[in-house]
Formats: sequence, C-alpha cells, structure tokens
Amino acid sequence: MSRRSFKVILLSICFTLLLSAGIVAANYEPIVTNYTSILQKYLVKDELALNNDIKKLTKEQLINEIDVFSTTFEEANNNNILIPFVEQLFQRKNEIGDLEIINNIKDTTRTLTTREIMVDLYIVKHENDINKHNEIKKLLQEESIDKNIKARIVSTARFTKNDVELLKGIIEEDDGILAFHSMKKLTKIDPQKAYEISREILLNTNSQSKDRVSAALRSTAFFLRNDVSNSQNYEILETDFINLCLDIIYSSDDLFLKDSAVFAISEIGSKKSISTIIEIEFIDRELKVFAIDQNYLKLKEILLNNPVEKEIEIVVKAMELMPILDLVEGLEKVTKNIEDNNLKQRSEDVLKNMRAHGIKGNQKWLGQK
Amino acid sequence: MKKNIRVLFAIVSLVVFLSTTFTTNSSAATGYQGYAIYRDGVFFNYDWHAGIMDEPYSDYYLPVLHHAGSGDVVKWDSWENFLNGKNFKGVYRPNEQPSSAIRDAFVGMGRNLRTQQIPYNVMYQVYYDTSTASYYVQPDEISSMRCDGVVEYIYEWYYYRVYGHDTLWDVTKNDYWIRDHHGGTAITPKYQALNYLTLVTSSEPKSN
Repeated sequence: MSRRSFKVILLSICFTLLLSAGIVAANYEPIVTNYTSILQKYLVKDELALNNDIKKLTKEQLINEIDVFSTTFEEANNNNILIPFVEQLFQRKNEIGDLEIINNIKDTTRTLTTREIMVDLYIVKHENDINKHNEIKKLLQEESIDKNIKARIVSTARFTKNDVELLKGIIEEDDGILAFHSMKKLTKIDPQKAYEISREILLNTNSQSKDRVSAALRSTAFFLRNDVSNSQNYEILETDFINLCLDIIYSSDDLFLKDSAVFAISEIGSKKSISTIIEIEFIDRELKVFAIDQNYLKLKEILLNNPVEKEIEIVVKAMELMPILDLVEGLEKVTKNIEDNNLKQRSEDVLKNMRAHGIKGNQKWLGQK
Repeated sequence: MKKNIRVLFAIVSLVVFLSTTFTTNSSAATGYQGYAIYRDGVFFNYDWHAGIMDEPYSDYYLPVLHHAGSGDVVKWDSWENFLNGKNFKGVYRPNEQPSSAIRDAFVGMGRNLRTQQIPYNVMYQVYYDTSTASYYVQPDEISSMRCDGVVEYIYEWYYYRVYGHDTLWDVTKNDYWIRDHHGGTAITPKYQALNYLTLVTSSEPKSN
C-alpha cells in the first residue's frame, strides 16, 4: 500500500469517527441541554433557597425534574441529588391521583429511577390499604412492565395468601432478581409452598441461576427454623440441608452464593447449625461473628444442658471471636469441670476477656416473624 | 554468617507472609474494616455518597460495600467505582468506639444485606412494611434502602447510635415515626457523617 493510499484511508476513518461523534452528540443534546438548564437554575442557590424553589414547582414539574436529573449519565451514581425533590413529591402524595402514578410507572419514556420512585410513592400513599396494593400488583401480569419495576413492586407491596399462585408463577418464569424477591415474599406468606419450590431448585443447583439458588437456601432455612423444628425427621432434613450449604461453601466460585449459604446455615438457628459455622475453618471470621451474635441464645443453651467438652470448646471458640456477657455465668460453671487442661486454660482466658470486653447479647434477633 | 542471616530472614518473611495470608479466622477486624466512608460530588457537593469498608484497606479487591443507587442493590464495589471520579471525604466511625469484634459484625451485617439484594430508596434511609415486619426490622424484611441507610442500619443494629432524636434514633426498630424520622432531607449522607459520626481520617484508607 502506498503512503498516499494509507493517508486517504486514515483520513476517511477520522472523518467517519468525527461524523459519528457528531451524530451521538446531537442525539444527546436535548438531554444535556435540559439537564444543564435545570442545573443552572439551582446551582447558585443555597439549601434554603433550593428547597423554597422546589416547593414552588407544580407536581408535573417535580416529576419532570426528577426524570431529567435521573436521566443524566454524569450523575448516574448520584441518586442523592433527588432527595429534596422526592421529599417534596412525597409530601404532596395526596395531590397526585393513583391513575397518574400508575401511568408514570408504565411510561417507558420515564427513567427507571422515576418509575421506581412512583412505585414507592404509590405504596407510601396507600400503606395500609390492601385493596390498593392489589391494584399495583396487577402490573406484575403486564408483559410491558420492566422486570426491575416488577421486582420493586414485589419487594415493596404487601402480599397475602391470595397471592400464592401469582408469586409461584413469577418464580417459575423468572430466574433473576424478580424471582428472588418473589421467593422471599412467598416464604413469609406460605413457607410450606416456598419450601417445596426450594427443594426442587436445590435438587440441582448447577442448572439454576444464583438468584434462584440463593432465595431457595434462605427459604429452606426459614422453613426449618419455623415450621418443622419439632417434627420427627427434622434431624435428617437439617443435616441434608447443612451438607448442601457446605457443598456450596466449599465448591462454588460465586462469592454471593457462598455467603448466602453461610447465612442460611446461621438462620436455621439450631445447635448443630451454629456449631457447624464455628467449626468450619473455611468460613470467614466476619460471618462467624455475625452468626455468633445471631445465635448467642443457642450457645447459652448449650452451656445450660450439661455440655461435653467438645461442646464447651465450640462455645469457647465462639467467645474468642465475639465475647458476650450473657454467657459468662454459664461458661464459669462448666469450666470448673473441664478435664482437658488446655481447654480449661482457654476457657479461663476467654472468660477474663468476656468480663472485661464482652457486649450484651443482641436481643434484636429475638421475636423475628 | 551473612548467608545464614539471609536464609533466616527469608524463613521469617515467609512465615509472616503465610500467617497474614491464612489466619483470617483467628484475629479480629483490621485496618478500616467496618468504618463508614464518604465521597462528595452529589449535586455540586450539595450532598455526599456513603459506603462501608468491607475490607481493611482501599487497595484490596472490592473493598467497599455500598448502595450505588437506582436499578442497583447493596453490593461490593471497587474503590474507583465508589469514588466515581469525585473527592474522598473521609473515614468515619460511630461516636462510641466499637471493638474490633463489633467491627467484624458490622462487616458481617453488610455482607448479609448484600445477599438480600435490597433495592434503592431515595426517600427513606430504610423502608419496610410496618404491618408485617418484626419488632426489630430483620435484614430480610427491608424493602429498600438509601446509601446512608446502609451505614445507619448496620451501626444501629448493634446499638451504635447515629442519627435521631432520643426516642426515635434506632432505625432498626419497626415504627412508623422512626421510619419517617429517618427520611427526606432530615438526614442525608453528608449530615450523617459531619454531625453524627466521628472522623477517623480524611485520607484515603490505603494499606501503605
């Protein structure tokens, strides 16, 4: 190729790139111009003046400004700029008709952020009116509604036993975040049904999405803790489930799934589950501490039921990671009878630390629904 | 002799390296783990963006846990994505100094929130259904949350008070008025850091 030909080709490429850039810029111009003009309005104002200006906007202007701000690529990671605008919108929630809100949710020319805010606005406006919640739930059956918006509706609206089939249908059809939140809701309103679906999902975790597997793990843990802990085959169900979780913890490449599996074991809330977490070296320290805090009463219970030295060692290990005052008395009593000198010394050392630096057991875990 | 010293030094170095690599379960939180971090750049610094240090230092892999915004969920992220080209504003801790074990629990709770795939909420720090949530709102009962809500919820779950009136401060307590109190412009990431937390360092929390 001659030098001249090369120059011609190079110039052509540059010209084409320049032209493309111009076209792209032209396409973005209305957004940029609109955004810039709105910014200029607010830029020079202090907080008080800004809020006063926002108060003067009509509800349509408010929604439009929220939409324009959330459109910008530049501020994509800065949703907090919307706080004063959304606060004003929520204060005027009763001025905005339900149909207007629903239409905004359906309007695909609106940004995802605007549509999500509209879902929140609708739910806040009708927080305790289940009939109104049923209205917004109808959008879950419309194909044109974005899955993210549907996930938002599922995570925010109230569901009842009447919605079991609806949620079941969504879980069958979706394998992403929509299925995840649907499983979460189903778990709370019909744990048995959620457990049955979870069992199917967990039969072959390799062929399922991480969202479905993660949701199924948490759902199964919830079922084991609340619904079958007194049944005859509980031990078999629990052992099988813990083994499945351990398999994920050891073999999965997905850190989200590994963490989900650890939290699922912790959420079972049994002596076996918390002991497993404390004993497995492979589990991160931070997750062990979380689980010890969540299950401190179960550890206390171990100490009150004539523990063998192996069980005492589990409690000692736990207290070495997270000293809790509520266990001091129980550990003091059983330490007197420890025969293994090494364990006895560790227990006495940890007791000193518990008395000096221990925290009170976290009662917020108790009474969860 | 010099050769022996070199061999000894190499062995000691190897042992130190291995001990720091494989003893993650035996020692408590290090570096800045569990502390809150902030950057500016929200609406020409009208406000800030908040996150939590999941790892000890900013030059570790995915050191940040935060809620990046709409269309996203609580997640791990790189230091660069957290900053998003803006200015770092500092590392903050609760006013009452937490122990390193509690900082482990902060990190653990952050990772729990991450696995709950919680969407963003512009209006409320923490949003949930007051009728169905437990007396204390469990992590799996949160419908959506704001970036400063991640910090507020994690610290207050472990009784480390951040923002709020004496009777309304605990954002983890299921209560209409508490939820409302932690919303809008009454509390924002910038107010949270500057008025309700203690500055640890205004420098980037690097390992060296």
